[in-house]
Order: sequence, then C-alpha cells, then structure tokens
Amino acid sequence: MSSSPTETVAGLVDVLMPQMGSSVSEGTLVEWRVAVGDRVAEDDVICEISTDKVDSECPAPATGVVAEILVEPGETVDVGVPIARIAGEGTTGVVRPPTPAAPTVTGTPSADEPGDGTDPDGTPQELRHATAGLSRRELLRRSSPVALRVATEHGIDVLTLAGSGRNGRVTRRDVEAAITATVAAEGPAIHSDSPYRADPDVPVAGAESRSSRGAASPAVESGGATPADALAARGGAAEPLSRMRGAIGRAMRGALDTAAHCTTIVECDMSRVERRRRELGLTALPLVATAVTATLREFPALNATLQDDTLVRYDRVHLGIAVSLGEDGLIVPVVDDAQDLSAKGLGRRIKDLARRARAKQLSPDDVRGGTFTITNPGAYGALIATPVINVPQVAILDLEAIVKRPVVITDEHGQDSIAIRPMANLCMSWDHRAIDGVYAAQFLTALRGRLEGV
Amino acid sequence: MSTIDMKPTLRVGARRRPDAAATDDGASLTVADHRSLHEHLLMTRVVEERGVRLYKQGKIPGSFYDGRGQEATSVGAAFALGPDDVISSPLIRDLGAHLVRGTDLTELFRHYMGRENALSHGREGNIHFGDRRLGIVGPVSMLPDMMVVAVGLAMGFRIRGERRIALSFFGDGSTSRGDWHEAMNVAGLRREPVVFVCENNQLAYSTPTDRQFRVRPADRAAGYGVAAEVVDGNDVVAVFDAVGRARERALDGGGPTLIEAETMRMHGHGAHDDARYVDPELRAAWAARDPLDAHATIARAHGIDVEALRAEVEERVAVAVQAAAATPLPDPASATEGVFCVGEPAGLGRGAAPFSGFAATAQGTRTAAGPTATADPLTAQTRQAA
Amino acid sequence: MATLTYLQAISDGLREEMRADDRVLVLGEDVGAFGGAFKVTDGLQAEFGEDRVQDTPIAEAAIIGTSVGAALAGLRPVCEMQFSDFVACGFDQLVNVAGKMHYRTGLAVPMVVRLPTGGGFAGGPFHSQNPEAWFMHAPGLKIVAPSTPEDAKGLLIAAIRDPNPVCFLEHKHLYRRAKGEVPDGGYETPFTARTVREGDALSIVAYGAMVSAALDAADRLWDEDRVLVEVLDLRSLVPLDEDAILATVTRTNRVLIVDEANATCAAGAQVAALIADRAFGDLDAPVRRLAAPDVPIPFSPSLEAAVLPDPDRIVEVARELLAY
Repeated sequence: MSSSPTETVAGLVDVLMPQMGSSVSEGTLVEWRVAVGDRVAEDDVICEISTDKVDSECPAPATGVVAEILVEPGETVDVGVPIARIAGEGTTGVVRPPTPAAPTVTGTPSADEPGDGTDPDGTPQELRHATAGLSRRELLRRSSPVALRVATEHGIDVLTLAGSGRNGRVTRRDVEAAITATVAAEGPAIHSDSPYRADPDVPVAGAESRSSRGAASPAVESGGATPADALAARGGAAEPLSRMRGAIGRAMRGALDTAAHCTTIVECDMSRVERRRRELGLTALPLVATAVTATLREFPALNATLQDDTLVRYDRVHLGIAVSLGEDGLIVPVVDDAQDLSAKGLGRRIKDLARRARAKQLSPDDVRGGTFTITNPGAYGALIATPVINVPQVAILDLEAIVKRPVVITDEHGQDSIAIRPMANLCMSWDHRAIDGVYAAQFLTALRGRLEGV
Repeated sequence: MSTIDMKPTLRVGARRRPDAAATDDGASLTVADHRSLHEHLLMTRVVEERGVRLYKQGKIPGSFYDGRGQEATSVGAAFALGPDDVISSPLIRDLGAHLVRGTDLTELFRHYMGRENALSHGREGNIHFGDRRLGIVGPVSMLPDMMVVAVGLAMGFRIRGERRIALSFFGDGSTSRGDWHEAMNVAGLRREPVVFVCENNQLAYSTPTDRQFRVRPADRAAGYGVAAEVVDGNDVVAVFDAVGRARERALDGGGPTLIEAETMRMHGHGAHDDARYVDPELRAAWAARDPLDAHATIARAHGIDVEALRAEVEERVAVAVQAAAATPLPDPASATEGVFCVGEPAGLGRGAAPFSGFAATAQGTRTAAGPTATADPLTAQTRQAA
Repeated sequence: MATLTYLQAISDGLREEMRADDRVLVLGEDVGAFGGAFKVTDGLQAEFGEDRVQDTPIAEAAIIGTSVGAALAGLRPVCEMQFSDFVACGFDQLVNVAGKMHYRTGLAVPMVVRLPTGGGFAGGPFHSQNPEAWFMHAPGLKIVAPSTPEDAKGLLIAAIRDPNPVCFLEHKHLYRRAKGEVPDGGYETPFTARTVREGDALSIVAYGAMVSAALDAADRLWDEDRVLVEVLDLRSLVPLDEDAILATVTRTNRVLIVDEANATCAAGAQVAALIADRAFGDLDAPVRRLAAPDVPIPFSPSLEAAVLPDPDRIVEVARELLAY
C-alpha cells in the first residue's frame, strides 16, 4: 500500500524510501546531505536517491534531529523501507495506518463470525469427527457432499450404505432410503433377496441349495492336510470363496454338465458399426445387440430355453448382457423386450444395468428370464473364446475385440485388393441338443450381413 | 533533440481571436478579478509544490502529477465559466480549474494523501477527482473519454433548454484517439453548447507533437464544423477571453469551439519522471514565459501586493496539510461500498464563479429542476463592453 | 393484457416509459426514421420528435459517452447498440467511464444500453455474440437478460428507472419467436431470478434464449424419463440472485448451468463458483456446465448448431448428471 511514514517509538519518525512511480519497487541511496545529530527542518532536503525511473532529492518528513541513518550511500532498498529516523519535535501529525484488516468481501463470512455449528460450506462441524480414521476427503470420495451431510445429521455411517451413484458413490437418495427403511437386524442394506446371494429362484442347473459359507473352503480341502503355516511358508494364503464365486462356479459347472457345447466363429468387418457408433456416440455393444435381436427373430430356435426335453421358443427377445464385476465375479442382467428398443435406447438400458450391477443394486427380476446372452470380453482385448452357455438358454454370443487387419476385398469388377479393416470375431457357443451346426452358421452369417450392412 | 517550434504562430485555418472586438484584452476584468486570478494561479502552484514534497516524503501514496507552467490555461478557462456550467473534466494539469470552482483545500490534501475525504473517499488519488457538488465531473485516465461525456452533457442542456455549457480539458496527446474524433464530429454535427480546451503542452508523456500528428488540432477543427482559436496558454487573461467568447458562442446557438492553448509542461509527466528527454533550451525558453510571473506584472500594475498574497496562500495550504495529515485513512470495510447508486441519484451542483460578471447569479437561488434560463451576466457584460 | 412478441414488448416498454417520463430519450444508429435495425424503435420518433429519438452517426463510443453525459445532465438515455457485438467499440466509455463513476465520484449514471445479443440465425462471428461476461467483470454495471415478453417489458422499465448504468440484453432469437401475455401500463420486474418450473431431481439454471431450450429439455426428461427438472431463469446477471440459486440447489442437489455464451468465465461459471463456495454441502453430484465452446460463433448453420447449446445436448448432459 502506501509508503506513508509511520511514527515509531515516541517522537521518532521514520524516513522511508519513497515510491517514485507506481511500478518502482526499490531505490538506491545516492548521498546523504545530513549526518546523525544534525538538526533538520521539515521539507529540508536530506538525501538524494535514484531509481530506474528518476533521480530525486528527498525532503525531510518532519522537523527534528537526525537520530539514525539506516541505509548507506550505494545501498539499494525496497520502497517503504526506513532509511533514517528523525527524533521529531512536532510533525504534521502522521497517522499510523489502521491495523491491516482485510476488506470484507461480500458473501464470505469472516472467520470470527459467531459460529452456527457449520463450516462456511454449510457442512456440520461434527462431520469432521464422525468417522474415525477416515479423512473427510476419503468420505467425500465415497459419497456426495449432501449425502454425507444428511447421513451425519441422522447418525448414519455413509460407508455402510450401498451407493447407487457412479462407482458406487452414496447419493442423497441412498441415504434417504436408509433413513426410511426399517433398519434390519443384519445391518448392511443389501436386499435379502439380492441376486448376489445364491438365489433358488434363479434356475441354475446343478446348483445345490447349501451355502458354502462357513464350510471349509474347497482350496483348503483340495490342498489336503497342508497346515496353514506350511501354506504360508510357500507364500500362499487360504480364503473361502465368496458366495458369488461359489454360485457362479456351480452354475458354470452345471451348464457344462448339461448342455452339449459347440462353438462356431465368423469373422465380421466392423467398418459400418464403427462409423455408426461414432455418429451415435455409443459403444459397439448396443449396435451389435440390436443386430443380434433382429437376427434372432429370424432364427427363433436360438431365442429359446431348453429344459427337460422341452424347447421353448420366444417371439420376444429378452437379452442377457454379461457384466463383469471384476474379481467379485460376473452377473447377467436382462434387457426385456430388446426388440422394442433402438440402438440408443438399448445402449442406455445396458449402461443403466451395468451401473446398477456394479453398484449391487440389481433386483432378482433384473436377472431373470433371459432368452439369449451376449458377452463382450472383447472390450478387454480378447480375440477368440468359447463361452459357457447360460442354461437353460441354448446359445451365447461372444463379441471379441475389434482389431484392424489386412483383408482381401473384391470390387465390382472382380478385382481383388488388400485393405485395412476393423475386424472382429463373433464366437457363438450353442447347445447341440437344441440345434445343429448349419443353423448356427446360418444365424452367424445373417448377423454378419446385418452388421456389415449388406 | 526537440524540433518543436515554440513560437505561437498562426497556422492556416486556425483563427486567432477572430472577433477580438468583442472584448478588449480582459477589459471586463476588475481589480478584484485580477486579484482572484492571481490568487488561484498562486494557489495552484503552491499546492502542487507542496504535493511533490509530500510525495517524496512518502506522505502521498501512489503517484503525483502537477501542471507547472500550465496554470494560466486551467485558471483562465475556469474563470470564464458561470456557476451552472459543468467541467467534464479537468485533466492532470488542471488543478487550477478545481480551485477556481471552489474545491476545498483540506479535502484536496486528504484526497492526495489517501485519507478519508469528501471528494473521493479514498477510492481515487492524485489529480483523479472532481467535486460533483461544484459542477465538476471527475476525469478518467483514458483520454479523451470525458470530451465525449462533455458533448453528452451539452446535449442534455440543449434538449432541456438550459442556458449553460459544458467544458472539457484535454491535451495534444488526446487528439490522436478515436474518441476525440467522435466527440468533435458529434459536437459539430449537432452544434452542441460545448467548449473544448486543448492544452498543447508540446508533449504526450515523452512524445513531442511532431511525432504525434501532421496537422495541429486547431487546424483540424474546421473539418468537423467546430470553430477554433489558438491562444497563448501562458497568458491567463487571453485564455479567459477566448473561453468567454467560446462560451458566448455556445450559449447563442453557435455550436462548439476548440481552443488550442499553446503552453509547455515544465515538469515531468509525474513526480516519478525527471523529463530528461526535453531539450534544455526549449525548457529554458518557456521558463522565461512563466505564467505566474507574467500575470504578477499585471497584478502589481493594479496595485495588488503579490508577495503578501503568496504568503497568505502558503499559510492556507500549510493549515490544510496539517488538517489532512491528522485525518484517518478510510475504513477498510468501506472498500466495497458505493459501487452502485442506491436511491435517488445525487446530481451535479453549482460551482463557484469568482468572475465579477457572475456576481449577480452566484448569489441567486436555483430550483431543483435546474438552472434558470435567465440572461447570462457574462454575455450581458461583454455585449455592454462591445 | 395483450399478447405481444418479445420485440413488441420491448417497444411497448420504451413507449410507456417515454410517455411517463420526459427525461427518457433514445439514441442509436438508425433508430429514428427507420425505426431501428430490428424495428424496436419503430414509430417512436414520429411520436416523440428528433431530440428524444436521435439517429446517431456510426460512433459507439459517442453513443455511450454522450449518454453518460446526458445522464449526468439529468436525462435518462436509452441507447441502442445495433448489435451487441458493436459494444466493443464503446467498451471504454461503458466500463471505464459509466461503470466506475459512482464509486469514484458519487455521481450516478442512470442509463440503459440495449444490446441485441445471441446467435442461431447464421449471423456469423460479428452478429451473434453474447458479451455479458465482459461487463459482469466490470464493477458498476448492472446486467439483465429477459427470456419472456412480460419480463422484457418489466425489466426494461426497471432498468430505465434504475439510477445505475444497465446493460439490457435482448436476445435476437426471441424477438419474434417468443410470444406471451404482457400487462398493460408501466410495471417493473425486479432484478431477481424466477423459478420457471419446479422439480426435484435436477435444476437447470439459464437465462435469455437458453431458458426456452432448458424448458424443452425439461419436457423431454419428463416425457421420456419421468424425471421432474427445475428450471431457474436468472433474469439478472448483475446483481446475481444468489439466494434463488442456493435455494434451487437445496431442493434438487444437482445442477446443470446453461450459457449460450462462450464457456470461459461466462455467467454460468460465476453461478458454478457460487455453488461450489456456498452450497457444497447440498450437492449430490458435480455442478455441470453447458456453454458454447471458446470459438467465435461460426456462420454456416451446421457449424453454428454444433457450437450453440440446444435441448438435445441439455437432455444428454442432464441424464449424465442424473446418473451420477
């Protein structure tokens, strides 16, 4: 701010390096015209200074005796720095600037305002102490700000809630659901009929109703009598399979024991799919799913379930979409009546189901009643697979990675040339009990035709 | 170094006192008027000398600008204005115009020193202020913005049938910008009652006029339909006469006048500038034509004790500085106040008009609706003189 | 009560106020005999004469600067920039002279600058801009932006009666498209926000032409997703109705802010900053903004459509936000 002189201890007046121009930040003392002990009158020239803008004589700010000279000739000091002190005898009443209090900026409560128990952002202060061991930052990573605030107001630990937001974040809706719900004795708010538990209603061939929970883990059983410490010595650690892994394992084993698995593969030029998905802002999956849905209606024996020598064909397509839950496992939610949806609509439904699957918010209805399943490990770069049929369905289509490959194309004159095309393998496992290889090949060829737009 | 021709020659197209018969070289000025003129010239110089010292003592923050050598132009021009006329605006060499209009010395030093004050409440510094209560609109740093505003004020006076004018000060440097053209064009087009006072002080900061333009401002005026006159800016009486004539023309519906006052900036652009770029011979030549010395001769001839007047002025300035230094800085909490006007807007007031020709109306009252459209005393007096 | 277009409502407001207050005058390029480039001032010169409805030279600094002077002389000028883009030529007079006058000198500058803004009609880079953010950043200027005929008239009258310089943004796209009932006589619309539609899932904050785009999007989100979206029309950017903004956040916890202007430092950025600062604890999702990218508004219809926010894009971002 200003370089106004400040009165120091009783009667001593600072002579400051003046600011000679708004951009000037320092000055050099050229010469003293007075010495310590000299009497000076206010406005007498006492020294000469030089800056990069100007050379100037400096008048005394007060009448009195030069008490101290603080800066020697040749020295450069910042503007506003005392260069001498004068023992005053009546100056022009220099006023000390008020204690530097920052101007109040409208709308920002100052720190010393009477507290109302909230932080400036309206967050109750007790949040800071609500969850021992977890920083507020961590809590806010796992829940939205308002969810955290409302949960704390109701004494709920947000971390016990299943989040419906992106990446499982707890939202206000989740907290409000927890507040209104009767608190179950078990605590954690996973539905009692959650599909993530072994669910007898889901027809899984070969599934046993006993829970693996609490039983000795298969790993330990198969490892025979290896004591835990011996295992540890070899760098191993035993843990029982999760309920979900156990269920998946039994379902897969049951499917392989039941269906007569065959796999047929066609190669498909995905140029058109790639172009369309860019236009629509979608992934390839909903576009392939739309084509599969349309093709299935021409091949109803593949849109079917087979149980106890009875094949049920469906004229509506209830499309299962396999969703990976990472290490936890895999789940197949179902898009009902896929034939009624556009690619965009299908994309939205798939996105929604996947989100809810990962947030553990699927209901049993969401995973029941599929008539055909698509799995898409291609997103992770795989090229070929032989998927296991989701029995009692009779086929599963595996969409593999789309990769650029050199392919031979033939133009309208019958001329062959090599082109670079985005290609993908469509691998379908089908149940030989229900259909034969020709039917499967015809289906895949028709599907390819649809995808290639021929 | 400098190639400036300092001789006040008359150029083609520029008129010098085109109707000199209208006045007789300040014959309308009484002894009291000369005393007042000299008092304001002295006041301007003493305040600025004191200001430079206070600045170097660190008692005035920021920067400090003075108008040494140009006192006659600002004092003489303002002295020709009636109480209801508006200045929009005095510029950084025009402290004299503020003082003639009656700006309070203590408030002025409070303002310079960044203390709480009635002129700017600390929101402005140095010569950036204007006491609205005295009919002055404060300047902005962008030149010549306020010339356009003066044209708008004049337009308002004309539309409302008010017998008053707007006056705008600016320098040679201002005439290079587009706003100068827009103001000249619109004023000439509409024949607005406005007087433009161009202080040709030979320098735009460090740039001499021959590096700013090919054609001098007064010669350009004809292209806009604006009357023009070149006057010796160091002769306070000549400036007073020229502005008086221009004011009369404006009040009579004759439209705007550009007065190019030839003068010289004797100090740097600001206290931080030692003006080492100015040819010493040129400076010395102009120093010999100091406006205060010139008018002191006239004042003494009228029997005025110039030395006593100076002592009196210095005493008043010293008292004002003392009082200003004892004033606190503005309350920091007030920094965010007053950005918007709330409630009824406060308007421009009447300024002091010390010229004896205005004495009659200066005593008179004015209704809230605006100045009364009575016959103007200066007009009456100069007509009488003619 | 009459049904008027947005443009007719502005004309109506001007005429009402000129009849009621002889200090009000209009000045601008071609506003007199011709009635203005968009015909907002059509017929005014015939009724009020050439002093009160002035055709000016092409000189934006002079239009704004003389308006400042006229305001200081006790008049209430309403000046028109033929297109808001041209206000750049008078920027200095508006920002440095008008905006700072009261703070510096205590002199009020009661004037209105009418700014026909916005794109959507292949106007290209010099006839489509939304310059409000330039002036939001300049202290001392009020800024209003009506979205309906009723607000256009009421905000204009309030602007004329306000003792400060007011930038009045009138959206060209709305001139003849927006129609609605407009009360007779002189009435003032306060410089506050208005909740156009109440909702519980998400708030869309907008102003000017983006309000109708937001309402279209809200309709679709109800029809297709059965989601109730709240729409807040800011109406005034300076002063900004902070209470109304914070209140809508409290109700819905999710906010999408839509600007037609270029994104960086736009009005919506200020709204977003306000929410981050004062309503963090009410948020269920990040504050999202939709605005024109930082490019001059291009001429070709396909390019312009790619740049200006529209209901489709609002729906898309709203859905992302709802799924957060």
